[in-house]
Amino acid sequence: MLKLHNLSKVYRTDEVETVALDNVNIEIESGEFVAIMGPSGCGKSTLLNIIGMLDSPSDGDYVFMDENVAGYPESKLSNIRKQNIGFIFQSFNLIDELTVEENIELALLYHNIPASERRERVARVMDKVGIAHRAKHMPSQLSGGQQQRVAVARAVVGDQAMILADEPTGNLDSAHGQEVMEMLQSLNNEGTTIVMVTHSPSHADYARRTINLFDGHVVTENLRAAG
Amino acid sequence: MSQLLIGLRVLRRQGLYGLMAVLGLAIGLAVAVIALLFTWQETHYDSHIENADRIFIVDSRVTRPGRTEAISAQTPGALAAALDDRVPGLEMKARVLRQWSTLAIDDRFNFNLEILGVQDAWLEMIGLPIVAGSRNSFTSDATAALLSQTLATRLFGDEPPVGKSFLLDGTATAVVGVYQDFPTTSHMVIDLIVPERAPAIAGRGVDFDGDWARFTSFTYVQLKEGTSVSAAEQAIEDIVHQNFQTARWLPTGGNVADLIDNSLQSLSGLHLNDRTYDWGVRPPADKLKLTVFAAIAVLIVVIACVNHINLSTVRSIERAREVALRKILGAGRHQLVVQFLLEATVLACVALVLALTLVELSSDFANDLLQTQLDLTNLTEPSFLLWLLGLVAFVVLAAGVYPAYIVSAVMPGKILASHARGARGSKGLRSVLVVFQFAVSICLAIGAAVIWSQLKYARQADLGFNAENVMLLYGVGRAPESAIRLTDRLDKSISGRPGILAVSASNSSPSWGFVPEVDVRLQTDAPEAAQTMGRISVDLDFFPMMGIEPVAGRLFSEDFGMDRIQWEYQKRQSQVMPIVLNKRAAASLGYVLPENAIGQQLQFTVSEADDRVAEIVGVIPDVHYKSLKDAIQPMIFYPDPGAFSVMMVRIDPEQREAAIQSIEEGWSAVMSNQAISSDFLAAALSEQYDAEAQELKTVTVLSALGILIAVFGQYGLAAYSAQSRRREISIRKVLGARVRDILQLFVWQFSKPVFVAMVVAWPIAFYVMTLWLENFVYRVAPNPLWFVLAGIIALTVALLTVSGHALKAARAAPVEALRYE
Repeated sequence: MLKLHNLSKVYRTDEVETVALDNVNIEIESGEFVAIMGPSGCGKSTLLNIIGMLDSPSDGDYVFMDENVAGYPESKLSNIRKQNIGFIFQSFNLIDELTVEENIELALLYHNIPASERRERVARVMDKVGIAHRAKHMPSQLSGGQQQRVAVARAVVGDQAMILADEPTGNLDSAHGQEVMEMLQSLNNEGTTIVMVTHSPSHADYARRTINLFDGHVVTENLRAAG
Repeated sequence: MSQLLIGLRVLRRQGLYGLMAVLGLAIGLAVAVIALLFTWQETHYDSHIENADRIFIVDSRVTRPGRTEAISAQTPGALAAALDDRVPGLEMKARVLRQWSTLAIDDRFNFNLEILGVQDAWLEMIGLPIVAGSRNSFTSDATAALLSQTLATRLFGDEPPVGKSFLLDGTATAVVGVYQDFPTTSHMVIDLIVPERAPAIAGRGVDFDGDWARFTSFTYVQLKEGTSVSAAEQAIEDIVHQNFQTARWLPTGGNVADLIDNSLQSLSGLHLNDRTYDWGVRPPADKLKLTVFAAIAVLIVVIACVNHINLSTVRSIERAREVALRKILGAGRHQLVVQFLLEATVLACVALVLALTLVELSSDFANDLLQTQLDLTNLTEPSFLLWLLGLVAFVVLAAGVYPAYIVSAVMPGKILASHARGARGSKGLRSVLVVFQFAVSICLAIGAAVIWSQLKYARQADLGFNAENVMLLYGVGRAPESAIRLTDRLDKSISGRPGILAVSASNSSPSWGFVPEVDVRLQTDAPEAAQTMGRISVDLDFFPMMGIEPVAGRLFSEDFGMDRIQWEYQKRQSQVMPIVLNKRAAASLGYVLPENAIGQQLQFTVSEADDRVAEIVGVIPDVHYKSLKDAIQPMIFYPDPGAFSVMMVRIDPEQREAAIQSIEEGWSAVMSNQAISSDFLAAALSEQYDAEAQELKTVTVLSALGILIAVFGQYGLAAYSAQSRRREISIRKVLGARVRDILQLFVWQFSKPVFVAMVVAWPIAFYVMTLWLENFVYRVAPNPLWFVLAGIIALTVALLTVSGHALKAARAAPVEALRYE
């Protein structure tokens, strides 16, 4: 699916140079479920943003589906991103002014899909994550778990091959966290590649592989026995 | 004090926001101050004259059945002397004569100016302030003169003027005193005053003292305090009625009391009364202009306040955190409101100082726009300062209360606990305010376009004659010599010189907007069937000179004895007078086909003493002898050299300079003591619409200012919007939105209010401009294109204003916003 080769990310300001990622080499296969762990400030989110093409590396190669996208301009990245990658954030990032339905539809809005098909797909995915009864509600009227389910729905409604989840359970209580993880797992079972940043070792256990980052380096990679 | 400091600091910290808020408000205030100054002046005319409220001008109104009512600020010359104790409360009275004269000094000066011939009592009444020399016993010397400072400087430079002399209509006249210029806010402004016995006035052979037949003199009376004005008015009118002798031009038969009524107009009220006099005193305040200007000024101030409300609400939302903290630290809502109001006051004061500077800088421009001379020293008048204070208070209340109220209502816990943006203010109200701003600006822009197109139409319309390259020579009616011989001699003197194509004379120029009237009826009709028509006396060259062709019959010509004989005053009385009608006159006499009118005889009655038999020899098209504001009236052209008062000379455009010189030489060869006053007909015609041209300027400037202020507001809102929608934009970008998609979002957000504004503005502008156009009988229809164009301009301006922020927001990397949420 994707391959990072000697990838580095350096943030520069006038006085300080911060190395967020240093010579990272990672390969993720199609259909994998990978968890990224590590202490605060180790570079997890930076890594996820680069994988999600929200940020570009300072150095090294990023091969996504056999294409080296490292030097691509924003418009090209945006195109690849919207066709292949869905995002789930810790703070849900739903738009307050739009209903549940409209928030989900947003992910299809920029794909040139006819309105009728959009409505159909949104309805289907709302059923799947069990939020259909809240379709006309505003995000502020939902519980955190429900909001995150909307976010998941939004991430998959476009049939994205890969979902990037940045601490998807961070703002949820354990019961709701569990619910979201099970949802991700079932998506993975259906073939979606999932890359997830998390602090929770128990949630990391849902992944088949865990990458541990420290100070911008990959320290260890643990493979969990299948099943 | 500390709050005042915070206010200033806040202002400084806001940078561009602060600048926009202050600038927008300053422009609004500057307009308001100018409007106040203007209104102030218009309502304080002659306030420099001590007893302006009990000094009166006697005016006269002549109402003749069928004729246009005439209102004059003048009375018969004999009136002033006849006023006595029959007039209750009479304290002082004076007669004033006003006329055009020629002033000459050697080869250096030779020009025409208006002069006053006065009695001592008048100088005393108005308290003419003398700065050099003296006005004591000034009227005992018939060759003495008082000069205004301006004229004295123009004639004599830095040399002391008292004792110097000049020629006035050929008579040596000595300067005995110099007076302070009349303020522009005077009912009369004059640069030269002589005793009424001066040869320039008395020498014209008019008997003012015994004249009860014509309205030739201004009559001033001063009444004792507490006198009943209406009683004095009635007494004066009775005296006029008892003595009035029917003038040659005034048909009798009626009761003189029905014909003439007189009223007293106080100097302090003269400028604001409803009487527009034909000549002599300043035209009254244009109340419509005053109202419209005041209304627009109020609108601009309101726009500026609206803007200020918007900017400060937006800004205060961003300060929600500060407010929350203050609340936690124990600040009551009351204290917060005071703080915000103080800040608003600081801002308003800074804006006021800026506004006053702007007023100072733009005063020339404003003078030109308003056709006035703004007196900035009025700014320090105590009562004016009170107005200014009121204005600032209004701005502070209007612009400070709402934001103060909104922000102080913030719940502190909510703000600090979450990342919510706190008080939002009413989005609805903000939109209404933006819509209002743009609607006003669009209305003004449409107004400007309509006025412009009507002006263009009026100035380029085919008037039915060729006005290009025609010079008008004024003042041929005022020389003592009979007008017949004078215009004849001038004609001969100017004709044939280089560059001169044709010379002609008339009693009225099409640029004057004034056509005298006559009663006519067909010989076969009963006297009651008489109709009132316009009468224009012309010489035999008039029609060819103007390029007017007949539609039936013939025009005047040397070839016809009945035309020629009109130049022989004695013989012509018993002859039938040839006349030419316009089509409308022929039609109103019953000849829809002009040919049928030819050869018909009319009774042509100017007055009882001037009653002739006339024969229709020709019919011409309906030419515009008045501006396009007036309908073409039935008109009769007749050859009467006794009535001529203006000459018209067609020159060769190829030899313009030579022609002008020819005219000047030809003039001075005949008129040794009278300077030439001339004008081009085309320019004079165009001047008929100067008032509209001024309106166009004013409306354009105000609409530009309105848009400018709206732009400031729009810019602030865009900045706020870009800021507050950062997260949403990031989410959309993560989900695949391109820069273009985000821009679309902004375009729509900021276009919506402009579209609504258009819908609001269009019907209002249509209604108001239709009313305005009704001033013109001949007019354009409001073009829908102007309405669309005004909308497009507003839209373009609005979008350009927000484009910077929109682009920045659309291009921002999405991660930043999302990470820190």
